[in-house]
Order: sequence, then structure tokens, then C-alpha cells
Amino acid sequence: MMEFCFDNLIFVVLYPLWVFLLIGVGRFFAVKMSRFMISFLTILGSVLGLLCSMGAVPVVFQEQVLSPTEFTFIKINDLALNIGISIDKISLICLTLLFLVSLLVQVYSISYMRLEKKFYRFFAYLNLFTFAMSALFVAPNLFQLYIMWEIVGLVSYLFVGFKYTNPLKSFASIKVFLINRVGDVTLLAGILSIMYIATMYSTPRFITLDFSDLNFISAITYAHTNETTFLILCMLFLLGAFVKSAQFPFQSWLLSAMKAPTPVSALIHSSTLVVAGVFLIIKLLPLFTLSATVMSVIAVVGIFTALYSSLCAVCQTNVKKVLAYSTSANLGLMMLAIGFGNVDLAIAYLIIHGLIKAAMFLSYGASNNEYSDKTSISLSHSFVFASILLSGLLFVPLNLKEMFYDLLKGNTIFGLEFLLVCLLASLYLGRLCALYYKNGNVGRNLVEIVVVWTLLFVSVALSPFVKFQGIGLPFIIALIGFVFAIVITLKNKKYKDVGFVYQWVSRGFGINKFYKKTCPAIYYSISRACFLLDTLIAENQLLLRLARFMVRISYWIEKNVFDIFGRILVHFVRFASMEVEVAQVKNSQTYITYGVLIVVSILVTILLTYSLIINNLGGLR
Amino acid sequence: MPDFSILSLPILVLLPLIFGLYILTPLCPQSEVFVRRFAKGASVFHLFYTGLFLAFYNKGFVSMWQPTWIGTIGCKFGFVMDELALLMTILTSLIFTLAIIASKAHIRKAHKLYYALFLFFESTILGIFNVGDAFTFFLFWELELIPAYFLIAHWGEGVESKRSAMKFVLYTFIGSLFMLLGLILLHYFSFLVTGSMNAEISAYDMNGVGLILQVLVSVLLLIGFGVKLPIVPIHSWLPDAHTDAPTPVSMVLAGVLLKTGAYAIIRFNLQLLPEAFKALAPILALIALVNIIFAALVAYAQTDIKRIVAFSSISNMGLVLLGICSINKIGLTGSIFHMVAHGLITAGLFMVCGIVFLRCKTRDITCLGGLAQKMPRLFGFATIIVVAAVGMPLLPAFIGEVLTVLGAMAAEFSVIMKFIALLSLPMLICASCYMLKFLHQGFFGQLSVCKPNSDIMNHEFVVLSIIVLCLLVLGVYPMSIINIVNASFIMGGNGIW
Repeated sequence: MMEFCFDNLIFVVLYPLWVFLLIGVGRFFAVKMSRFMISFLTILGSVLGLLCSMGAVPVVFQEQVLSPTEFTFIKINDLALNIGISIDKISLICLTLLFLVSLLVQVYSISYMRLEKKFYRFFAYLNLFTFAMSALFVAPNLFQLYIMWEIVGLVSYLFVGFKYTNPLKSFASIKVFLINRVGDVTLLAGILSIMYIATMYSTPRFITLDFSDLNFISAITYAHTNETTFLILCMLFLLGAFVKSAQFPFQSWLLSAMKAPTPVSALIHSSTLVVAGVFLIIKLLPLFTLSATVMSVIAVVGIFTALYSSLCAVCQTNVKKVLAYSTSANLGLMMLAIGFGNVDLAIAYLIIHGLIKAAMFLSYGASNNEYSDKTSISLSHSFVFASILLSGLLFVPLNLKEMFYDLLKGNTIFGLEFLLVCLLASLYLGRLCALYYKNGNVGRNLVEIVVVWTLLFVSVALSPFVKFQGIGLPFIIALIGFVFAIVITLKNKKYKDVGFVYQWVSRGFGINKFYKKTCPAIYYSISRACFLLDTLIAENQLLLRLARFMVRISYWIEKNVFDIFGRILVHFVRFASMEVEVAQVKNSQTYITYGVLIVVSILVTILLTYSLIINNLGGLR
Repeated sequence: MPDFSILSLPILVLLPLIFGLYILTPLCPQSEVFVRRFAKGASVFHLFYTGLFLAFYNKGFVSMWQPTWIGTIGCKFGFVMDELALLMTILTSLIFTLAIIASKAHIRKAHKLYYALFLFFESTILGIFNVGDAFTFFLFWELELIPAYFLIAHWGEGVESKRSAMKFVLYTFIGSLFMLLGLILLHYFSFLVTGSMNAEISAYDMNGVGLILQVLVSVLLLIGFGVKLPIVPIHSWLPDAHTDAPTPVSMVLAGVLLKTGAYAIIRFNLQLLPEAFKALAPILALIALVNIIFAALVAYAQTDIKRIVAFSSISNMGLVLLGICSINKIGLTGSIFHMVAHGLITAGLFMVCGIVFLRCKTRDITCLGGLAQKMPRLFGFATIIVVAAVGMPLLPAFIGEVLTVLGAMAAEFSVIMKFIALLSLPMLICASCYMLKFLHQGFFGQLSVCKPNSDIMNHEFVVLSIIVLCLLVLGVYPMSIINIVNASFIMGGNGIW
């Protein structure tokens, strides 16, 4: 049974792609599938996926390494880039999380999007996403990871621009795509460089980017590059990961991505897509651990993002934006754990954060549906419960934050900063609850509420797996912060007359504005300058000028060289005609003599020329 | 003796011309519908005929029937087909078929002459790809200007289409003067080396000729090919010609005509003058980099949707040039793959532009907007093609780009190549900038002044879906092309892979 589940993982990964194609192709040929059919096929995929991945857990945890199934994608001489499927513990854990959240979000979406006309499109994208994300998690090599990395970015873009009539959403989707693209390009540069170096210096030359060969590749790379080059190389990878995981200074795209429908934010922008960066770093650890500098870069960026995003979140009142900042901050904490070498902690936090954050988004969506005409925002019990969980006051997050603190205790600065992050997290979450909690007005739809509570239940049910650490400093600080935030907010509900600094911080310290205003302007002016240069080239018409110049030269030669011959000829003719006139006057004998002479000379000339040509040609032959 | 076996290269090349001539004769019925259907049938027939060549391909074809043209210098009308030519022939035949199907809505006058010229155009381009003789190559290279000029000038969509057509002809013509000089020198030097007058491309031998002379010949040839490719300072015919040509002709110009330049560089510069090309490659790669980034930046500043696509062509052809400059199998494969991918993608993009222009009567991007509401199916196709154009994986442009850059990094002869390769990667960002501008300004947001009245028609649907299907197949199964290229000639053992 377990083997059966494991063997069929590849089918489970490909199934959503099939559903996507079915919906998409059917739509192009104007074949309308019923909503029931679409939902049924989609949910079937996720159920099967969840069953298979959970069924495969015992298999994977018994054997350390399982042989991957691979197909040739590109093969040129020795260059072989494969796509396939290979499972290890981490990918299986991520896969299970993905299918679980995916299933719940799909069930939720049927209810949430019931008024949407483009229902089929939404579900087609969901399927594409499930395919790409699962294929990313099971990637046997860097190349497939990159392919799927780009496709999940594409799906994120498509979702943000889902309502294409809205210019704001259109703009946001461009922003999401472009910022992600920057990360993609650096990642690609990194992959190509490492591939080149590994091939260049290994004998016999081999090129696979398999994760199983990564130790070897890393060793070669480290041995054949100097300190700076190695650092740059790692930074290329890290930049890609930082962009995807919304780390400083790239988290701006995550805020814009909040324009996507709420279920999408729950699935993509909180629990699955954004952890791809963390996943990549975990996968590439054999490379990064070779240099202590790289690890400290990861840790520093992580803690800095956590601080920065938490600060921004405290000053923000838009619920989805607060959640986005919070996601960014929590991803920062995962980076921090990785930077300190504790991968297990990072993964545990990844899962628990994914579940709770998805629940928060869904809970928000349940009581504030975009398709309802309600204007005031309200949050329900489930959101408050999730906030308490995420602040680290109960169950798993409580223990995980203690573990974090244990990890960082030795380092005073990091420890203090972590405590500050805990405080800020409880502050913004507590404030959010106090601001918008309305007891009477909970979600209207049973399905949506059930989904939210299922997610929360799962996250609570995971608590036996994490050892109880005792109650320490993070808990106390979080508790104080949470209570403080609630008390203060309930006392003073107005935020209109807040200071300049507050507003500035709420806009992300001006970074978002920089992206919005400056970057397009700079790019446009560069492009404009190039356009002017191009017009200059086009007006000057290099080749045509050259041609004109050549024409002028030949005209000059014509006039000054050949014309002289012409004039001489004219003079000669005039002279000859005078002679002929004289001859006509004299007698016919001289006339005939002249004639014969001319004819003979012409004939001789022709003969001579012809024989010359013939001879020469013969010589050529 | 004429070659009467069923797979005959002269027939392959001349078939469209014969069909075109038939359209012009009084035998052909006058009605527009008949002419159009006949041309469509002819091109589809030719596509199947090309498919036969693919099916029965085995280490190349050489035409048996090689009539002498200029005996004294060893010129013959010889036709040869190898893997590269086969690939290009299939691409040509496919895109011409699509363009002829697409012509239905765009061509409003002089149908007979239009379709006859179009088929003649196809013949000349097929001639360029399949010819085995240097001077016959030159003949076809020049011959192609005649239909191209009239197609752009007479049926053009722009105000200044006559001027653009003339510009195109002059640029190509002046380039070919240098090219002719190069060919003559090549011929002469080869004669000095081998001692026999033979204009077959494969018979040329430049071993033993001094490097400087080789470089001279190479540069002269490159000027001629560079106009077609186009290389940046001599590219300015392209945006004008592509913008002012009618949509089907734009599809062909960008989809096929530009590839003749790259094809010729592989044929002549790379294969005949490898040493000179190796010496020139770093400089050429630098020019290619300028092509890639500069044209991508210029494309963003354009307001005419066809011009955006035209500049994107220049940018992509820079990538093709970079791949050729890497002089190893990966780079070349990538470059050939990218030629095919780009041919399909630009054809699709021009098709989309043409459809928008037909419905909205404008190509100015600032006047467009919200087309997705009125034309959802076109929006779907446009999204897929644009996504392919920005180099999304599982669609072919990505594979071309990755292989090209990888090939350039692996180039052994120069360190500069590695940096150029890495520096060309931001092209992916620039490409997404202009392509998303194209998509979002045109299709997203609220409807603007220009309101299209209908979604795509059936024949447009057929064209676009064939293009999208090809893109998906090539993107998911790239080995279909790589296998053909792999079996080939071009480079053995050079470079690290």
C-alpha cells in the first residue's frame, strides 16, 4: 500500500496539469465544463495527492535516499538536463503541506468564488499552481526546480491580474512579475555558472545538476573559485531565494500580490509559493555551508527582514497587508534558523506558519468576501484564535519560539532582536484583533468556516510532535505585547491623526514608493535615451550614407576621368569629319581608301580582342 | 537529367513558384475565393511535401539535376539539403502556410498578384536555405527582394509603406554588394588553394590562406548577412519594413526572412572560415550583446505595437548571433532552436497585432485598452504567446535562451564570452518589461475609445492555435528539434561540451 502510494506520486504530480489543460483547451474550443465537473476534478487531484503523499511518508522515512525517476528533457553530447521526480524527507513534508492547504483552499474557493463568472479560469490556474509547486518540491535537480520556480511565479502573476478590468490590479501584477523576474534571472545566472564551473573542472566531465551530486559540485566549485567569486556565486542563488521569499528589500511584491483573490493569498502568498525560497536554500545547503560568510548573510538578512517587516506591520491597518508583512517577517525567521544551521526548526516553523497563515487569510476572506457589498471589515473567532497561535502564546508556535530563543541565546544581538520581533508580532496581531473583531458578524458560509477550523485543528494537532520547552522569555514578552496592544487599541480607536513617521513606516520606509515611482521612471528614461539613439542611427542611415558617398565618388570619377576621354574623342571626331569633308571635295579614290582602312582596322581590333579573350579563358580552364 | 524521384529538391524549391505562376495565368479563375483557396491548398500541399522530406530524411539530400549556370567559373544550379536546411525549410513552409491563411482578412486588393508574389517569395527563401552553390545562393538572396518589395510597398498597412519597402531593398542591396565582393574573393582564394573552379559551398577550401585575408572575406560577408540578421548599427530598415508591411508579410519577414541571415552566417562564416570567425567571435558577441540589450530597451519606448514586436525581433536575433559566436555545439543548438522558437513566437505576435489593428483601426498602444473584455479568446492566445516571448520555461524561447547562454559561457577561446553571456541574461527582464507593456496596455484595464466589435474569426483561430500548439510541443519536448540538430554536422569536439 505504501509502495503503491509512493509509486503513484508522479501521477499525482502530473494530474493537476492534465486538469489544467482539460479546462484550458476546452475553453478555447468553447466547450464549457460544468462548475461541478471542474470542482470535482480539481478536488479529486488534491485528495489523491494528499493520500499519496501521506501514504508515502513511512516509505520515505525508512529509507534515506530513494532513486529518482527521470526523463530526458535536453540532451546534447554530455549535457543532460532531466526532469523527473525524487523524494526525500523535506520534499515530502512540503508536498504534504501543499496538498493539504491546496485541498482546503479549493474546497473553500468553490464557496468563495461562487459569484465569479470566470470560475473555470480560477480553477485552471489553481491546478496549474498545484502542478508547478509539487513538481518544484519533488525536483531531482536544480534545472527542474528552476523551471517550476518560474512557473509558480507566472501563476502568481496570473492570479494577481485575475480581474483584468481593474487597472490597479493590472499594475500590481506587472510589479509582481517583474520583481520576481529579477530573482529568477539571478538564480538562472547562478545555476548556469555553477554548471559551467562544475563541468569545467571535473574529470571525467559530467553535467547533471542533481541534488544528489550537490556535495561533489559544491566541493569543486569551492576549490576552483577564490573567496570573492564564491561569495558572488552564492549571492546569485541567495538573491533568487530572497526575492521569492519576500526578504528585504524585495518584499514589496508580496504586498502588491495581496490584490489577488483571498483564497489565492492563502494558498500561494502565505504557505506555499513564498516558502520556495526557503526550500531552495535548504536544498542548496551543501554549497552554502562551505562559507561561513554566506551563512551569516542568510541569518542577517533573515533577522533584518523580520524586524523591518514587523515594524511596517505594526503601523499598517490594512488586514491583508499586515498579514503579508507578517508572512515576510516569519519567512525571515526561517532564514534565521537556517543561517544558524538548524534546518529542522526552519521546516517545523515553515509548516506551522503555513497552516496558521492560510487559516488567517481564509478566515479574513470568510467574513469579508470581495463579492459582497459589505464595506466595514470584520474578523471572527477563528482569526483571533489563529492570531493567538501565531503570536506564540499557545501550542506549537509557543514551543518553536522557545527553540528559536534557545538557538539564539548565545548571540546577544540576535537574541534581543528576536525578542523584539516576538514583541512586534504580538503587537500587530493583537491590534488587528482588537480593531476589527466583531462578535455578531462571523462568516456566513458554513463551508468556509469548516475549512478554516480544519486548518487550525491540524496545526493544533501537530503539537504532540514538538517537545514542550517550558515557558520562557518569548512567551512572556508576546503575552505582554498582545495584552498591551488590545488594551491600547480598545482605548483609542482613531488612527487618523498619526505622525509623519508612523505613515512613513506604514508605507514600508519608502521602499514601496521607490519601486513604484523611481524604478519605472529610471527604466523608461534609459529606454527613451536608447530610442533617441536609435532614431539617430535610423536618420543617419549608415549604409545609405555609404552608398551615397560611393555614388558621389563614381560621379566625380565619371566627370573628371572618363569625361576627358570623351572630350578627346569628340575632338578627334570633329577633326575626322573635317578631313572627310575635305576628301569629299577632293576625289573618290581617297574616300574609298579611307573607308577600307577603317573597316580593316575595326575587323583587326575585333579579331585581336576575341582571340585574346579565348586564349585567356582557355588559360583559366 | 532531371531528377524525377518523388523527393526532389528543385521541385521542393520551385513548387510555390509554379503554383504562383499558375495563379497569374488566364487559366486560373478570377474569383478571389478561388485564388485564396488555391494558394492555401498549394501551401498546405507544400507543407506536406516538406514533411515527406522530414520523414525520409537520411544524411541529407542532393539534387541529381544540376544544370550549369556559368560554366567557366563552375556555377551550377545545385540544391543541397542538410539538417539545418531541413529545419529551416519546415519552419519556412509552416510560417508561409500560416501567413497565407492569415491573409484572408488583411488583403483587400489585387488578390491574384498578391498570392502569386507571396508564393514566389516562398520559393526564393526556400532557395536560400536549400542551395548548394555560392552564386546561386546570391541569386536567390537578391531575387527575394523583388516580391518582398512589392508585397510591402503595394499592400502595406502603413502610410509610408513605399518608402519603407525602398529602404528595405536599398539596405539589403548595399549589404549584398559587400557580400558579393566577399563571395568573389572567397571563390578566388578557394580557386588558388584547390586549383579548380567550383562554386559549391561544400567544396570551398580556405586552408592556407592568410588569416588577415580570411578575416577580410569574413567581414565582407558579415556586412551582407548582418543587414538581414540584423546587427545593430545597420538594423534600421527592420522596424520600418515590419511595421509597414501587411500582417502576413510581417509574419514572414520576422518569422523566416531574418533567419536567412543567421543561416548564412552559420553556412559561410562558421563553416567555411572557422579561423577567421574564431578571431571575430568576441567582437561579434559584443555586438550581439548590444543587439540584445539595446533593442530590448528601445522596444519599451515604442508606442506602436508592431514596432514593439519588431524591436523584440532584433533583440532575439542578437541572442541567435551570440549562440553562433560561442562556436560550440550547445551554443549552436541553442541558437538554431531559438531561431525556430522565435520564428513561431514573432509570427504569433504579429498575428495578434494584425487582429487588433483590423478591429481597432489603430496600432497606437496609448489608444488601446481593455480588449480582453471584448476579445477573450484573443486575450488567451495573446497571453500564451507573450508568456512564451518572455522566456517562460516549458515554452520554447526559454530553452533557446538557456542553451545559448550556456554555450556562450562554455566558449573556450575567450574569457570575455563568459561575461557577455552573463550580461545578456537581463534580457529576460527587459523582455518581460516590453512584452507586459504590450499585453497590459492592450488587453487589461477598462475599454478605451477603440472598441473592437468581434472576437477572432475562425481562420485566425486556426492560425493562432497552430502556433500555440507548436510552441507547447517544442517547449515540452525540445528534443524533437535537438535530435535533428544533434545528428548534424556543425561542430564536432569544439568547446568543452
